[in-house]
Parts: sequence; C-alpha cells; structure tokens
Amino acid sequence: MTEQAWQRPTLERTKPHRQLAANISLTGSRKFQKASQTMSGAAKGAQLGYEVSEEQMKEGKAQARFHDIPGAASDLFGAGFSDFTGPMRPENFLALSERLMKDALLWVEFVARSVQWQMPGKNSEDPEGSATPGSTKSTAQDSDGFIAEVSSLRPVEVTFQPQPGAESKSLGVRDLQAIEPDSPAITDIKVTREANQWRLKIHVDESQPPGLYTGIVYDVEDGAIRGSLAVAVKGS
Amino acid sequence: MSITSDSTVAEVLEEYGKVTRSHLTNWLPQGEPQDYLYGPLADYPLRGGRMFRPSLCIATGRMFGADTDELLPAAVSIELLHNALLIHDDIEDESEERRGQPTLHKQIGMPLALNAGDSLAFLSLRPLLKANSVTGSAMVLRTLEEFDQMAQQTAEGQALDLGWRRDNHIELREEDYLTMVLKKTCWLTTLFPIRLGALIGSGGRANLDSLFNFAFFLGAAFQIQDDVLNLVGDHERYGKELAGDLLEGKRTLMLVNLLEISSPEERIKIKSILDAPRETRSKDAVRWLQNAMTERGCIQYAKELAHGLAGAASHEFEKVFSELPNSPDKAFLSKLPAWVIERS
Repeated sequence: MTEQAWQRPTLERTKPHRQLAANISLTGSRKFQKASQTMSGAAKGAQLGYEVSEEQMKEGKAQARFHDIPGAASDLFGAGFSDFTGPMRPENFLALSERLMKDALLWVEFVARSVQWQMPGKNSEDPEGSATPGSTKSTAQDSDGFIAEVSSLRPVEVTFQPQPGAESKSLGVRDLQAIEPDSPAITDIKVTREANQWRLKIHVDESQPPGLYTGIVYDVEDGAIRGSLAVAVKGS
Repeated sequence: MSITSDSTVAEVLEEYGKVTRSHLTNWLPQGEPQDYLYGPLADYPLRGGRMFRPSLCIATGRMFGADTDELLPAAVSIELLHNALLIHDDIEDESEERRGQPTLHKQIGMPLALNAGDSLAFLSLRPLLKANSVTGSAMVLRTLEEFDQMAQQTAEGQALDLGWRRDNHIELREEDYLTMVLKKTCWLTTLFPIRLGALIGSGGRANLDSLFNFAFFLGAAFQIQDDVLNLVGDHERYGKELAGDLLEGKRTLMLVNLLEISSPEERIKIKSILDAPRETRSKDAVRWLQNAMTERGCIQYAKELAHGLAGAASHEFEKVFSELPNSPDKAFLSKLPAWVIERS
C-alpha cells in the first residue's frame, strides 16, 4: 500500500461551492437567478435539496473510486458498503482477516515443517521432481503421499504444509492470494485423490506476475483448516 | 412498548427517549475524578433533550424488524456523541446557554469542558463496541464504518461553518448553506441514526444509500426550523439565547437570503456587522439584522424552503418505505417531516 493510498483526495476547492449555471457566464447566471426567483420558497427548497443531494452523490462516488474500495463504487462517501453482494463486504473482510491471520501462523509453522518442491519450468533442469526439460509440466512427490503437479512456463517453488492427519480428510484448496495487492490470485488449483495418493494440480498462467502466492488447504466437510500451500513464482 | 400508529411524535419521542436515557446512564462513569471529569461529562446528557436522534435510530431499526434491545447500544452511542459535540460546539460558537442553563465551559472553564467533550466522544464508541455480544462482530465493524463516515462528514461541515465565519464570507448561496447543513447537521442528526437503525434492523441487508434523500431532507428541514426558532422562538422552550446565531455570525439560510437580496450598500453594512468579534457586536446591530430579516421576508422564505424540504422528505419516505409493513414505528417516521417544521 502506498502512502498516497491512505491519504484523502485533495479537495479541489475551499471556498463556497458555486453552481455550474452561475459560472458559465454573467448572462447565464442572471437568467438562472431570475428563473429561481419565480419559484415559491417551497418549490425551491425541494429543488435545492435534490441538487445538493446529487452533488454529494457525485463526490462520494469520486472518493470511493479514489480509494478503490472493492464493492464501494456505488457508495456515497467511500467508507460504507451498501451492496451486500460486493466482493469486500465487511463480513468478507473479517473472514479474510481471520484467514490471513491463520495463514500467517501456519506460515511460521511450515518454516520448520514444510515440504518443498522445486518446479523448474521451461528450459530448466528439474533437480528433484520428474519434469521434462523443455516441458511446462512438473511433478514432485513427498514421502507422505502428496504429489504436486505444476504447469508453468516459469520456475516455481511449491511449499506445502499439511497438518497431521490431513491425508485422511476430504481436502480442498482456496485460491492462492498474492502478497502484492495488485497481482491476481492463482485460481486454477485442483486437489484430487486416487487411492491413497493426493495430487495437487496447479496451473500458473503465463501472465502470472512473479511473487509469492499463499492459500489454505481445508476440509471440505467442515471448513476446518488442514494445511497451507504456497507457490513462489520466479521471474522468467 | 406502548406506542401505536396513532401515537403522536411527542409521545414516541418520550417513550424512546425514556428507554434510551435509562440505558445511557449505565454508560456514564461513576468514579473519580468526579468533579473534574465524570461530573461535567454527564452534565449535558442529564440535562435532557428531545432524544430525537436515538428515537430515529430505534424507530428505523424496529421498522426493519429489530428489537429495541438490539438498537439501544447504537441509540446510546448516538446520544453520547451528540452531547460531546454540543460541548465542543458551545465552545467554538462561544454560546452561553444550553438547554436552559449556562453552557458547560461557562460553568467549569474551557480546558475542563474541552476535556470532558473529548472523553464523552471517546465514550460514545463503547456501546457500539460492546454490542458485539448482541449483534456480532461483523455488525460491529459495519457500525464503526458508519460512525467513521459520519464523524468525517460532521467535522467537515463544522469546519465550513467556522471557516466561513472566520473569513467573513458573504458570497454564499443557498446550495452552499445546504451542503454545509448536510455535513454539519444531517449526518449526525438524521443520516447516521437512520442508517444505523436500518443496518441493524435489516441485519445488513438494507440498501442504506436509498435512505439518503429522506434523511437529508428531513435533517435540513430540521436545521432550518432550528435557525428560525433561534430568531423567533419561545426562549423558555427553545433553551438557548434568542438571536444567538446572529451574535455568533452564523451563516443561516436567512442571512444568506438577506445578503442575496440586499443592495451593495446594505451588503457592506452586513459584512461590517459580521466582521466584528462577538463581544463587540452591538445589540443594536443584531437587532438591525433581525429586523431586516423579518421585514425583507427572509424568515418567511426560510420557513417556505423548509416546507419544501419537508415535502420532499415525505415523498422520499413513501418512495423508499412503502413496501415495508405498516407499524407504529413506520407511522412515527412518516409524521416526522411535518413535525420538524411545526415544532416550536
């Protein structure tokens, strides 16, 4: 997050707000005033109310766009979230926060316990797995019955940390979110089980920016976290 | 609750005000330093008041289906913050009376009053935070977002009001005034209570933006009527010094209108009167301004404009709430536009 992103937009004016009609020309201004004066006070009250309301709506939307708050584009002043189906509802935010917290804890754990596979990508030697030089697909297997299969044009490093007993559960994997906020998630991930063999299939698109992507492995039965998966996409 | 669809606005305000006040006293700290902090902090909340804001929150929330108990933390928070800002407003405006008594800073001095206002403002967050056990953490986060939004808008509105006075701006138009009122008054008085009520009552499903026009128009009509009462109201019922706005040089709709219809010479005179510090502004000058507003029809014009806004609020109410089932709370809210411009 850049410093600028935390700052409010600079207000364009500090003096009283002028109506557009009054700024076009003196003649236009006088015409507008004359027209207004023929209205009753009550009619003018209603008209002014709607005009000011519309102006505030525009300002609110501009602020929301400036802050680039997902799901807040339709909001008045940028801070609220009126569209409950938006991608960043506060509930989602809480869930995301909790998930990140759990991810962080697991990350600390798998520094000591994780299984790492080096996936060389195109034109690289595969020191540990079974990738064929020149191909885009690499596979590697750990001693607990997990196989990672990665299709990628670039070298990747896969770090998988299953919790004890995870292999006996019905597993799923969430999208792998980038540490960098602007990078898209890695979404093409499948977890399959054949006999007692788990296979993680990960496709890293050619356009995927280099960086670290993390996500959780969970039990599809009850949603409990059963492990973590991280993919480090190297520069080509 | 004993309110019915036939209950008057005053009866509902009394009912919801009573339950809010009773709940509110539980949030006022009782320990030391009583004389320097907790006593002054409790002063304004215990002086009474109409309880318009918390009632608005409770009625809106109930209309959307919430129980009063679910809404009370929000209602209390709103009232506490309102009182905190009143302490600061009175200092900033150099006001002398509040609810029929000397303002807090006149009683205990500005430093202690400022500190009490700060403390009360912080305290107002506590009911919202503690509502976690009633509404859940996700809803707490939503209410805090609403609080943050309201606080920012209110501060911006107050800054406009104070800045225009400091720099003696007289080239204001009615839309400037309404923008300032929207920020300074409406966000805390109507938008925030209505949005919080709808948010909690609907469990987060209501489209809060659709309530904007109703709340804004209602709040603006409320403020204009308040400005009118400051000039022509019954001092005992109004509870503040009459013509205090003129003494303070406040940019009211009447003043904006007077400036708009005045001759260049009159504008120079008005600007000169407004330029003087409050303590040197003569009673004769204030009386001249007040008479000019009366004779030139500015007060009548402001009343008409408030009527227009109240009418627009009624229209918006029908548009937005017609699908909701009829209830005493819906009836109460529907009567508010007329009430805000008729109250004395």
